[in-house]
Amino acid sequence: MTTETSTDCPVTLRLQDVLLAVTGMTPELLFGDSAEEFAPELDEDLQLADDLGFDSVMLMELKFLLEQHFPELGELSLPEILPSLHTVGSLTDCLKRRLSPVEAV
Amino acid sequence: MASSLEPMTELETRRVFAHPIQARGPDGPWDAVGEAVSRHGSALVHARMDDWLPKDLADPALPDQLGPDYLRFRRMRHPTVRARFVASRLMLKHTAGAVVGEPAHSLELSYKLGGRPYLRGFEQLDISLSHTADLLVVGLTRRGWIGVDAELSDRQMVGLGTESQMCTRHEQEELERIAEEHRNSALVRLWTLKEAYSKAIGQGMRFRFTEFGFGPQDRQAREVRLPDGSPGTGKEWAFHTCVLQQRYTVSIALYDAGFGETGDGVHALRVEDELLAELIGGTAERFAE
Repeated sequence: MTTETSTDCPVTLRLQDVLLAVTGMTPELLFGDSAEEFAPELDEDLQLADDLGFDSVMLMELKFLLEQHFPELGELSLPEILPSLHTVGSLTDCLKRRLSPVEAV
Repeated sequence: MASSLEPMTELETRRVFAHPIQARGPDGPWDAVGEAVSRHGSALVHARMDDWLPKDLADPALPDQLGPDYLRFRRMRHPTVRARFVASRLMLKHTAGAVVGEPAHSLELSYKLGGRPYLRGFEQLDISLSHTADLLVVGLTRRGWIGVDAELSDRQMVGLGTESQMCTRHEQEELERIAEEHRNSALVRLWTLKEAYSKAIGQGMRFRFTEFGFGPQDRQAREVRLPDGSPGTGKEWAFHTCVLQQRYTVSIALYDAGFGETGDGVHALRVEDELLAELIGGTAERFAE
């Protein structure tokens, strides 16, 4: 299991690590290309449940890994972030929004 | 056929819950489902996904069979999710159709705020759906509310930070007393009980799983417990956990609203669409199954 916690990494790169770990997909399956290094930009339209196969246990694992990869956010509340766990884009926005006040301190 | 994790040895459990029934396809056995609902007010029906999966997902009949769900199906990219989605909807509609006495294709599946499914026009028949791997499970009741949840019995839950995220303080203390080799299966059981309960009350994962619990070592879950382990619900709630198809742990939560076990016939289940539209609204979320 990846435990990357560098806060210098862009949000999308850290999120890629999390999604790869939770879904068990290869980068090629997740990002749709077999290039040497998969695209730095995630497909924001990917739906967690319908496209990536997330179920409720995976959501719990996602929350756990988000806390590890984004330690500056502290403990996350699943009920609070649940409305953002619809697409990769909505999750990315949620993380960026929550990181903004943290980085501004 | 089910082999019970918690055998229905108690009279009350046997009164409330019918034995699970396996539906091997559109032929049922629907008489058994109807009898379970007549006798107990509820039924738990399970199936293998392959028994319900159409040979061709491009079948021109599929849009009619799925109804409004077809649009969501068309957008899905994950092949297993697509297959499970189709199979589960077909199974749910056939099962509910057998209970309400209507053809499966005539039923419209809708979703309440939070993603809980219901049958438009038959809201007094409460339904719950769960699927995992090759298993499909449908719970139906006309006693009140029902929630079902299924997981692979050996699904990895220990080591994912699970205990702190889903267990009350009391549950964590109890789990510590369980031998390590049995702890994962105890967590799977707790998870399915919590999911079943939160689905029954229409909350799903919006309800903090650390705020309510069950007895990890109880032979039979009797009530929801508060974080300190004290009882949090009364006799109106009943729970049961069993093993289906040798490898799935399935829990069912049932709230008896006093509607009675035998009901008043099919027509009593109908609710006018206009009334329903006023009572219920909102968009479906994706994790309520």
